[in-house]
Amino acid sequence: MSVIDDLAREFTRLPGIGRKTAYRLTHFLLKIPPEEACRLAHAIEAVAERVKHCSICSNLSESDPCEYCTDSGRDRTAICVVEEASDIAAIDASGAFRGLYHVLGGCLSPLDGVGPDELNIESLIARLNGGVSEVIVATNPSVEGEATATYLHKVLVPRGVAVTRLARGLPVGGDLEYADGVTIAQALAGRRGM
Amino acid sequence: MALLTTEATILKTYEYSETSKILRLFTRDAGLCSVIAKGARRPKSRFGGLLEPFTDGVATFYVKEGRELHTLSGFELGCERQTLGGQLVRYAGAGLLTEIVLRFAASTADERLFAQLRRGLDRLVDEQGDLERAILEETWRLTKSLGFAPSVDACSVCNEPPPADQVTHFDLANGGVVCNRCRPQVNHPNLLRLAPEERAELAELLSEAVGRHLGRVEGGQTQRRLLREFIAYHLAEQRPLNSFRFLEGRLG
Repeated sequence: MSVIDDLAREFTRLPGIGRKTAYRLTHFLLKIPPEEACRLAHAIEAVAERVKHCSICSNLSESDPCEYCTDSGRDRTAICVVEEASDIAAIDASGAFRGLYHVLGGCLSPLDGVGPDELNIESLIARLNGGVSEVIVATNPSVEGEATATYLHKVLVPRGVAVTRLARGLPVGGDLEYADGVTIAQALAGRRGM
Repeated sequence: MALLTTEATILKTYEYSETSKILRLFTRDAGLCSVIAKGARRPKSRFGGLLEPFTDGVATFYVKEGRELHTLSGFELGCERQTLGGQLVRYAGAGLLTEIVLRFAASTADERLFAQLRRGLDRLVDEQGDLERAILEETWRLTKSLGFAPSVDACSVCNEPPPADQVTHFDLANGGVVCNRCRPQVNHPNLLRLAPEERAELAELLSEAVGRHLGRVEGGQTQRRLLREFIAYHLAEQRPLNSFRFLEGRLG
């Protein structure tokens, strides 16, 4: 097997990359100046070597603890729980939350054999002793995300913290006329007083 | 490229690329199918929150000859079951039913299995009594719809009914109970001992008679083990179902 095939095979391991796209990417890299290809290779190497899971919140970071856990300006009484580290960037970019984060590493999924023991739930419980008063469950608005939120509610409430869940319903800027029945039902169930 | 419109239940979803989803559907007219719902994960997607596991509806998709992945064009909501996520035992049971269909159904129409899956999911949403009984009964019914049912009332070797108060054994290979008289002829290592009340409870769980006992399952662990090992032996080539472990973790 040639080095071209080797590289293409590695690309096919990435999500959403099939065999054809893998060869297209490989040939693209062969056409650009070698120093650009090497820059990409070094960037991948650096990420693999330097980025680790934060020992407190399981976020991906070059430092341990991560920049969120060490930021003294953050509200240390609230923890926002997300499924994946990539969700942190989306929430933090909104500017609406200035507390701490916790990454579960997935969600409960019977079909995939993912139970509570496979998620970072024990480490979340261990963090509650540090003056945390609210846990915001920001799992995805899916059946799996809802089941994960239900489980977290069950194990966290007896420990004396308020457990809240992100609201579900109509997207901002969306058109009610074109919304589907499930989304409208969720929006109605989550309506609030004005 | 033909357009197919058929009733469907969503069994599982997978994220694909930045905005799409791949769905595993169990359809009335074409059995198990995979479709791609392009753009389904965009916040303002026309599919919205419809494309979630356990949801029933009418799917319309372009069927590509010789391909395994078709393109979803529309999904009209029939019945959503997102409340299953709000109670973990119900969620675990629904996961078990869908995993069985995902792993053992064929890509051809199977009206009986299709109807049974929907009945089972509906029951898990609505059940007000013992949830463990509901899960065990519906899972056995699904297994029967796939063509596998254990023999409980008669010995699977001599075909004679064992005395009601006799301790018997459940023989996975023969697919049923073995009476004490036939027991020496059966040399399988995987015989499971069955007390008379456990055999009676298994018969109850397999019964679909109106007016049957619907109380709490007494020997839950034994009944779960029987079901798990029966499915592993006859359907799963000894590869256990992931959902069983999750379910047992919730039921204890």
